[in-house]
Amino acid sequence: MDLTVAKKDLLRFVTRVQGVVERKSTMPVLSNVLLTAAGEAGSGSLRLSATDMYLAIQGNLNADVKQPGTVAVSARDLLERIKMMPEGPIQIVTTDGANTVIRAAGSARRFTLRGLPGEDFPPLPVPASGAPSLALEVSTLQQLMGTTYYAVSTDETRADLNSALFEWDGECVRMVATDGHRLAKTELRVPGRTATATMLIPLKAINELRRLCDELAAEKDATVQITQSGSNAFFQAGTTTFSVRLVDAHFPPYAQVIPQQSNKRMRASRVALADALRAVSIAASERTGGVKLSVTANEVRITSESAESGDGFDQLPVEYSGEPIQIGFNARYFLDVLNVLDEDEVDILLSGELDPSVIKPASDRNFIAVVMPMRI
Amino acid sequence: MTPEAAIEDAHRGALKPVYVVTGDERFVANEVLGALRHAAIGTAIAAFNEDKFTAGESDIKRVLGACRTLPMMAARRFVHVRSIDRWDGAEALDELAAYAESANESTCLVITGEKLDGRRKLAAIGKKRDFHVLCNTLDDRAVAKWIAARSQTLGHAVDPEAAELICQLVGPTLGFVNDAIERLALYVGEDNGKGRPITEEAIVECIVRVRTADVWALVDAAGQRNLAGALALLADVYDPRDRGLPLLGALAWSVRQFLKFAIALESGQSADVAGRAANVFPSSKVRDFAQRAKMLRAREAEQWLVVLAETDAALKSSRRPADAILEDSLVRLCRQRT
Repeated sequence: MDLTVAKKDLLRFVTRVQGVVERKSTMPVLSNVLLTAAGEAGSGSLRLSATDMYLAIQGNLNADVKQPGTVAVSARDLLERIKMMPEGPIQIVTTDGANTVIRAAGSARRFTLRGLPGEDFPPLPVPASGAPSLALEVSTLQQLMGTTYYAVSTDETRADLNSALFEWDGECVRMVATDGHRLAKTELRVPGRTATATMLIPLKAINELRRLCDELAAEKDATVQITQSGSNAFFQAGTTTFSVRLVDAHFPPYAQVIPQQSNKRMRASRVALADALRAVSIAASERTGGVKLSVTANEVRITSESAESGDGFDQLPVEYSGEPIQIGFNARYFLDVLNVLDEDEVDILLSGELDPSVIKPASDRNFIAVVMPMRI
Repeated sequence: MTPEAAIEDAHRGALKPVYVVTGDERFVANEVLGALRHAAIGTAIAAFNEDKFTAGESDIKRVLGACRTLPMMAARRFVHVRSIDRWDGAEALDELAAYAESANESTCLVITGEKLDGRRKLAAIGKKRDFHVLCNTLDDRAVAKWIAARSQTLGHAVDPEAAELICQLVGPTLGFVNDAIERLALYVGEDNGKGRPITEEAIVECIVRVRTADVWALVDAAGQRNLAGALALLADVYDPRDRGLPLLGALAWSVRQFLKFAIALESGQSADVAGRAANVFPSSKVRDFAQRAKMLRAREAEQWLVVLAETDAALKSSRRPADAILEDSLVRLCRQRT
């Protein structure tokens, strides 16, 4: 293999694959990135692939290919060496089987990496021909994930909660996540594109997809092509394809825990409420992180206390006309929700001090969060 | 608190907000855990009302946060903390103790592990509030009773001798015993919708193809330095399908039981007392043991156990024929001298 590629393109993609590469796997080859050069001088391409056997990412870069070939090299080592290269074209040559020399054009700097033959790298999944595929705006996917990801459980032993539910239901796309203590759901309309699909996307994939979307968001009208094929889902954007093995579990029946009606509604400034919660939670007990909300006519008092560090108090004007109510919450659960919204005002719907509360943006019907109260 | 009492709590739906379940009898501990979980979650959506943590890996604050959170569309939240012994420092246990003193009534926190440090405040509160469930290994008599009760639950009668035989062959670990009973229940089957009794023949066929009488005959032959007799017995009972491992296991178990008896006898105890120490019953067996003790001393039995352990390792790792390894072992047993 002998090719020349621009450092900035190579660096960008090799950086991107780091999140997918598995460093602690029992299969050492998974800590590598596969480089595959194809084509010919002037019209060649370099394909980079990485996988942890659950997630896989593949991308194509334009390259001047003198000799096609394939080699797998350590993703971390490759990244470190490319970073140290001067700006401009980089030549990658494989010698003696899998030894890979990285050389900067016009500079004496070079590195040699001990790689593995490309044939040792596991084959990546490919969608079956004719598998159903749909296009979704990057901004839409970004909004779905960005407003729900924090509610995904980090407990890897519970596959059903360690993933987010993605549903395409008619002209509506939806993402739901829960860790059993809170739930977040975002539903957006995609007029003119009707489909039915249900996927359980693991948290690691959600995090990687968020990074991918953040990069693509700069491009105007960027779209992601979503294909579901067998147990995998493929997300293709530009020359990058990201595939994920979907979670084979049943997402809990979330609709049952979203309160259909609440008899108390408090409307508050999102920023002011978040600020007060953040401040008061500093004094909350380390054991629980809980704060108490005492809602009375047009006023909410937020208090926290801890045997170790005293107490905290703040008070905010709110719109509220119901019966006074006192309710305890984990402040972080509230803050997670308030931090991902961008509306000025939020509605907090309450029923009783033991019942789930609902947080919604005041002017937006697409998002809903449910937070369970705490006994403080 | 006994495991039975905890299970009774669960069946009555009168759950305490905290249970600490410790002990080396994992089968019973799992039964207690299962009953408490079922009583706490019931028909509610488990995903929204269950939290599992592993001590040492999870932060105590997360555990307590989960305990303080109210259940979602359910009566209770179930929080399980595994491997309590993995919390080395006092801090986490003391935090749990503080929680236990003012626990959230709508949460059932179950903490499981091998052992709870008796010096910790949690142990004292557990004793005072009666939420510490001890699941210790049962003695042979209790295991035999447990076998009878378990078989009865599966619809099969088992007489005390057969229960004792299962116990002797399988050992006191209830997980293995339960597995053996389930296999036996399937083996004996039903007759007109009623479970057939579990017999000694079924046990010998199903659990191990070695009769305890044959094992003791081997012990006696080796004890009398009767190598020819011991080799002839081995040729009768050796089954190449299992490389003699069940036979060796039964032999080791018998020698260990004899060793307990012989040690008690040599320390000046009467045969009856020594029999109780070694869980040997009925009295006819105690007489057999006393007779055996005249030809085999405790010290020699100890050396036999070393030989048997080496034989076990050889059977599991050597490429030599298993019957040859067992024959070597008998030669060594017959030549042992103290």
